[in-house]
Amino acid sequence: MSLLPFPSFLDDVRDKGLKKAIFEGIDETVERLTAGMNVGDIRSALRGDPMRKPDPRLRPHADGFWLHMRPGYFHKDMTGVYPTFRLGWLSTYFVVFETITGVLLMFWYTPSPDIAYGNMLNILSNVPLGQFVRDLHRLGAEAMVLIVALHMMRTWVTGSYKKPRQFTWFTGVILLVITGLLSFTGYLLPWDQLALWAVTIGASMAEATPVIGEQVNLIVRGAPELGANGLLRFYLAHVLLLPIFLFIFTGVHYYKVIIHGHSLPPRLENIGEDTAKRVPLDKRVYFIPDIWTNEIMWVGVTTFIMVVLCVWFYHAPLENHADPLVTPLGTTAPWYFLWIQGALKLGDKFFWGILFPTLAIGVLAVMPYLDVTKSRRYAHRRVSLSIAMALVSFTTILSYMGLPEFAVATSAETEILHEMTMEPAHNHVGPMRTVPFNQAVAGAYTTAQLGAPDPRAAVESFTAQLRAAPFFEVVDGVLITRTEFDALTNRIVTVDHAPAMPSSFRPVPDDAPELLKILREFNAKIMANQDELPNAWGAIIINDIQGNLKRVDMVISWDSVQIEMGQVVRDAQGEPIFEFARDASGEVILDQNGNPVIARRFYTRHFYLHADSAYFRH
Amino acid sequence: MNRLVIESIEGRIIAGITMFVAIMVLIGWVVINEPARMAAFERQHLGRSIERGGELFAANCATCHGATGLGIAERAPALNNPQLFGFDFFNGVNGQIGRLQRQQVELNARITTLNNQRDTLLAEVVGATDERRTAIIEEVNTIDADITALSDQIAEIDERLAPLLEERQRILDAMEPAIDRGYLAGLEQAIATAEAENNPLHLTDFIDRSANRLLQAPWGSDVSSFIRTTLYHGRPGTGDAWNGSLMVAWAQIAGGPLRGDQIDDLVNFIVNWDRGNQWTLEDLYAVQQFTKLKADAAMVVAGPAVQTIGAESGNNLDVATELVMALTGDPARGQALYEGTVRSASNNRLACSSCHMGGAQAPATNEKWNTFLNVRLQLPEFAGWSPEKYFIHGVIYPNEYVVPGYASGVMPGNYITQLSAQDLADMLAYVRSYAE
Repeated sequence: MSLLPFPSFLDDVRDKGLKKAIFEGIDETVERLTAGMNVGDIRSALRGDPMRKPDPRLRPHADGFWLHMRPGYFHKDMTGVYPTFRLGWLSTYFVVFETITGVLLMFWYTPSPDIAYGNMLNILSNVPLGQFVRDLHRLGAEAMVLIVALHMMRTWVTGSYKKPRQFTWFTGVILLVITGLLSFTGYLLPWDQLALWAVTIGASMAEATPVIGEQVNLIVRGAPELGANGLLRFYLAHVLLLPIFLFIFTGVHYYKVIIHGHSLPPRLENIGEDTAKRVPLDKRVYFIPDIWTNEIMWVGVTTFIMVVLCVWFYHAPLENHADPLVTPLGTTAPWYFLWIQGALKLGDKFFWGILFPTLAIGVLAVMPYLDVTKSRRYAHRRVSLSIAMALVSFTTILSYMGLPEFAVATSAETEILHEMTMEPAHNHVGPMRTVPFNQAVAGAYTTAQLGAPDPRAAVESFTAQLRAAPFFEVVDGVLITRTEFDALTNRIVTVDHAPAMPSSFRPVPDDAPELLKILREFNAKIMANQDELPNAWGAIIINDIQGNLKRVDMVISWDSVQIEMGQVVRDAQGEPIFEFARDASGEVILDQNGNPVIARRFYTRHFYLHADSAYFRH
Repeated sequence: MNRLVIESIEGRIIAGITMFVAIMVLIGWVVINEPARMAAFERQHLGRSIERGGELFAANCATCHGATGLGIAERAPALNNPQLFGFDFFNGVNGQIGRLQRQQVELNARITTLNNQRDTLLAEVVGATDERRTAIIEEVNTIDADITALSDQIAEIDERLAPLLEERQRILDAMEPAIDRGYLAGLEQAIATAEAENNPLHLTDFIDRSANRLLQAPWGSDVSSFIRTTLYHGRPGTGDAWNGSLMVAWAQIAGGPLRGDQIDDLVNFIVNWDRGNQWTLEDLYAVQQFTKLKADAAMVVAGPAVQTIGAESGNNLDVATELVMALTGDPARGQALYEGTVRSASNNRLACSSCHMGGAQAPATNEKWNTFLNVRLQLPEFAGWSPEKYFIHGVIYPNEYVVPGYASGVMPGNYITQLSAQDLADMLAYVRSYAE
């Protein structure tokens, strides 16, 4: 008799013996946990033995929570790479992958502009595996956007959106939008320059909303510009609001797959028929064990690929601290929103920034209800497939147009010096920053030494020329006339706060070949823009600041020509029209022969170079 | 392709296990390399922070603290400065002197105690019994022996002190150019006090304190936090020491323009000037301006009596102009006065350049002679003035006319009592040299 008021394990032991009682106990526990399969069933399934009736492999799908989201068996023709390319599965994989890596990152992150960036530095410098997990999360995010978009294209191409799966497609478009928004909101969180300005561009569309633009903008950004409120909103959207909708719609999307089955490759079905739910016995591939083991294996393979990429090939970018006052040159939205940025260049902000994307996504969402043709065969869907390909091409072209290379006029001198000195961004760094520290020897160097048979003589005559050439400048309403050399010194020292300008230029020392290489590169860029920069020379001036810190000033000087809309203005003969030096009252200055003097101009940029900052070309 | 990629279940299980093992191995490999990677990142990030700090310094701080951080005369103190980092040019000598002098103070105190005992005993001698008298004499003899021993110790310490004091004096002599610029400010006063009070330790302690900015402040934490606090909150209350030019609060949280991370960058940059134990006297000489403490009335030493332009001219601009025009000016000395590298007749450093450079705080004076002629003297209030008169007026009555765009009352009005006619003539010659 049991001491307890219900039968206990001890009763079983007494009735059946210890061994049998233990085995039966385990068997029963396993059956409960798997919602229907005991140890014997699992063993039979894995061995491929014939199953007892009713088939216990289907019970976890009918009675269990986890597997009720998955079909009990697949059609044999749906288990390979074609026609799904595993894209839907990969999308879900990335949802889980991003959730896990994201939660790990949340332990180290605070959504406040004061500390968010410090948190990033801490993740990179003080958290073991911090950089690795951040790389995984960032790469996973970019991959997920791509995979989800490809999944949609595949569904379009195989016509799987057609009846009865219209609503599955509709929820898929919602998931696509949520994925884009998730990636976009996450973009802001590191609070570096890349984040702030990419998101600023992306969010600028909100203002173009008719009538309530200002209100929408305030709701999205939390203030007229992104700041503490905006960061908090983006964070909460990223970790709470959007994931909730993502999980809900993923559930609906999966449920619809259970209801309708996977759509078969078009050629396997008669036109207008949908036989996905009527899988013949000989075509069945059961989830347990085949699909199940297969998916676990794919989790391993995909994770392995992600790990390899993040160990050796990919590191998430982190630029300088966000600065609302400094707009970096060549700012772009994240790549998956470049198509909108490109569209914006076509014209009206409201039409191209709001109406066009909304219409595009809206039409996409209701496409199954518009395209009601029955056949899913490729040969019968030439128009539909052509539209798909046109869409891909159009998006690619618009994305290209979104790049700063397209139709953004920056003056040549700004572009050149930005290129030469830029901080690391978008996997690119200004070549001048990559000069080895010990080759950045203090001194003033000029492009005039290049190509000359005797660099020393060339540099000396260059210095002499600068000391002789007059330079006119109106400061505080007074015309100041001095030599070009003195004007350069004034510019570098007084205006740009460099500690000193050497008294003369010198040739690049022999033991600084990298510096010489970069001087050549600098010169090549100036030469390539001779139209805009006639008679130009470039200079690199290096000062020692501290034992392990140098300052590099870069200068371009040229004869000023008239520029309109990024193009040099030319006269009837096709000659460029020069600008002339003027005195305080705006009169053109004449030389002793009575000819107007062409205005000479400087453009400068500088940066500091530390021995440990380790800039290198990607 | 319409099959599972790996057809057999065993194949899939093996492939999956291989993948998971490979993942673990890779992550393990990453973990092993993490400490090195994190350290490298920290170095790299510190380097880039210093770069940004250099940029911020050039844009915001160089105007007052100098492009190379050596300070600007009468404007702001040097940060590229061994005093800030507490470098000990005395190489421990002053510390040793202090220890020995403290021992001497202690020994002297014991001698005083013994002398008092001796006096008390001797007072008892009168009227004492013979027996007692003998005992007293014996005791006094013992005390005398003790006093002699202590005096010997003091003399011995004096002997040990002599070369150290000599060494210290040698170092102090070598510091002369820096002391002239304000290093160890108040040294003369401290020497005088030490002599007057017969307390050499006073001087030793003064040197210890003054050679180290943190002890001088005094500041209870390290140099980074000293710099950071100053950057965050500025330096209220020091305006009178710096002719009204103030260190303002720079941090956004204190109402300034810079974010916390930018302050960090600046601190990293400034601390990077520390040369550790590599500082030399040359570095000390290079400093243009040392810390000025809040003016202490007791420390103000009267300068030589001079005939100032105010007194000489009877406070009359035309007379003053005539006096100045009658003299020949030396443009080199004028420039030195202008930059604060020599002192005026009344032993003051003017350092006009501190404000009159770049045109930020005050109109730029270089290249301005023509402005006097072409712009200012065209104004109705200066009709008939010579540019010389305009210049002298601007120096000795600075707030009667203020160039549009600049605040009134900023330029000190006491130059009339600091400059001699010769000073003005030299400065005039310097400013006029721009006309050529």
